[in-house]
Amino acid sequence: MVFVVIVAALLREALVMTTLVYLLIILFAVSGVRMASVGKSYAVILPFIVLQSVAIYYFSGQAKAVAMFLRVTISVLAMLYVVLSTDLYELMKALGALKFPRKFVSMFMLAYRSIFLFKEENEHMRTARRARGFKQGTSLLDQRTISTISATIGMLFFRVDRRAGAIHTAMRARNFKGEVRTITEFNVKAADVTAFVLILIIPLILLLIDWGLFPWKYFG
Amino acid sequence: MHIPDGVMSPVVIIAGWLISIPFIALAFKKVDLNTDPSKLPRLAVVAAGIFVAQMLNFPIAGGTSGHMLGAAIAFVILGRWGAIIALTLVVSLQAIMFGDGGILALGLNLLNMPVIGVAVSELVLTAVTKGRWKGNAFPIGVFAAGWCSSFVGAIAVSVQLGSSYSMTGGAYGIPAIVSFPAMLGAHSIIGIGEGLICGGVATYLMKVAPETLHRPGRHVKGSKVKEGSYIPAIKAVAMMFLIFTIGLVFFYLFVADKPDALEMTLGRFGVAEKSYYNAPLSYGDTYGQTLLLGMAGSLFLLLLAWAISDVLRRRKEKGATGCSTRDSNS
Repeated sequence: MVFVVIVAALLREALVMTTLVYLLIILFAVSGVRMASVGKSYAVILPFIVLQSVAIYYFSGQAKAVAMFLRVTISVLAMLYVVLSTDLYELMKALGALKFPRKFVSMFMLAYRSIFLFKEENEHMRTARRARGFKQGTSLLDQRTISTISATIGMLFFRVDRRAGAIHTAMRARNFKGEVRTITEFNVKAADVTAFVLILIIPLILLLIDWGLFPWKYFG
Repeated sequence: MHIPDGVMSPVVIIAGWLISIPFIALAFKKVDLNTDPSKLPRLAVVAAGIFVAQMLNFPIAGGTSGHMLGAAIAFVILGRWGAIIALTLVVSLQAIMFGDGGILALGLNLLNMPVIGVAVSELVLTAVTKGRWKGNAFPIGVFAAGWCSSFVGAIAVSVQLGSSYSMTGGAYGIPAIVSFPAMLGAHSIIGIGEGLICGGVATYLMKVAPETLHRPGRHVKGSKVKEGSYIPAIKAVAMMFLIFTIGLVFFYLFVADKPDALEMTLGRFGVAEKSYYNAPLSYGDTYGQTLLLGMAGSLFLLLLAWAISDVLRRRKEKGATGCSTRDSNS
């Protein structure tokens, strides 16, 4: 979070940001996150960044466009690093440990699970439709297409709502009160503290360079 | 409509957090999950559904994305505060777990989607249906609410991008000349799809499972106003003024003293402005003057709209009376 604050809000020099991109790539390599997953996730966001930078290029020039491209890239990569290297339930547990409201964490978990319920129920409904001889393929402008889509979404919501209600009742019957429990216990070790300090110090030093407090940026 | 980190200027980001947090805190206070835990799964299901719908997004020139918003359908199912919570969940889930939309920019994303989206949906649906969710007015109202929420959200993003650009001299944001046409053009089309789906789903649910909808409350004795989702006109006007007043602060902070993108481009190419008509009034030179003139202008428009609708209503009533007289005579 601190890292993103420094990068996204304060950095402006392209050279400094290029250094950070390299550092993040090294971090990805060390963490064992699959580079293919990183590339795939980054590819989704890339068109947004490119369009933004092109617009800036035409109105504010090359330097600002490059700076914008790198700044958004670093922010996205930093978030992807957290998301891809952390298990969801551990992330939830961490949110709980950071004193996030318990109800909010519960809703997060329920919402996340419901996404898969939607997927499953949609598959069931698709099979049932096929069994009745339903064929897709009419135009989007067809009046029946809109009513079919609406009815499908409506019924999907109704079925998932019922299932989610049952799941929540079962969770409450097992005394679930919003606290996330995982096998891994959170113990802060010396290595964690070092990593935290490094994550703080590196962008702070780069920020000082960005603001011109160190002269070596003029060497090049 | 998801704004990534690094796009907006720090001041706009802070402003986004400052405006959105009180609304979201209020929503959590109003939807008391401790006394009624059964609300929790429905909130989560609506959030998950909207999350799935929002996964279908595409880039728009201006660095943000175009996709379904879902504020109108969330409002129809969960009501004002529940919808704000569900959309807050969606936007936070996307930012924290999938890296879609920035962490710092989350405040702005929360403002544009849950807060503005739900407020616009409620205002439009209430205005069209007059608080009675039945007949043809209901699907039309939900369609209008879906379209308007998407479009007004896009306006908000464009204003934020434009303000970021103006106040930082191009280091952040996008010039308004690019962000407005790109965002509004795309969302005016997306809004039609959103409106059709929201209207269709709401109508289907009303027919098949009306218990799943958050409907306007019971009739209050001695009052024409219904409890729940109906906002009296005075409240709606007050809200409009509030939004206008807050928006004006942004305008004066970041835009007012700088030339807009068109003026800048004209200046760069040495094209001088030539006026063919001098307006008798101006927007005023200070915040206070503009606020006063803006409010006077809004009041004038409201009165004009009221007068036109009154004339139309009278003509309609006259026509209806004429018909019934003819019918009774025959």
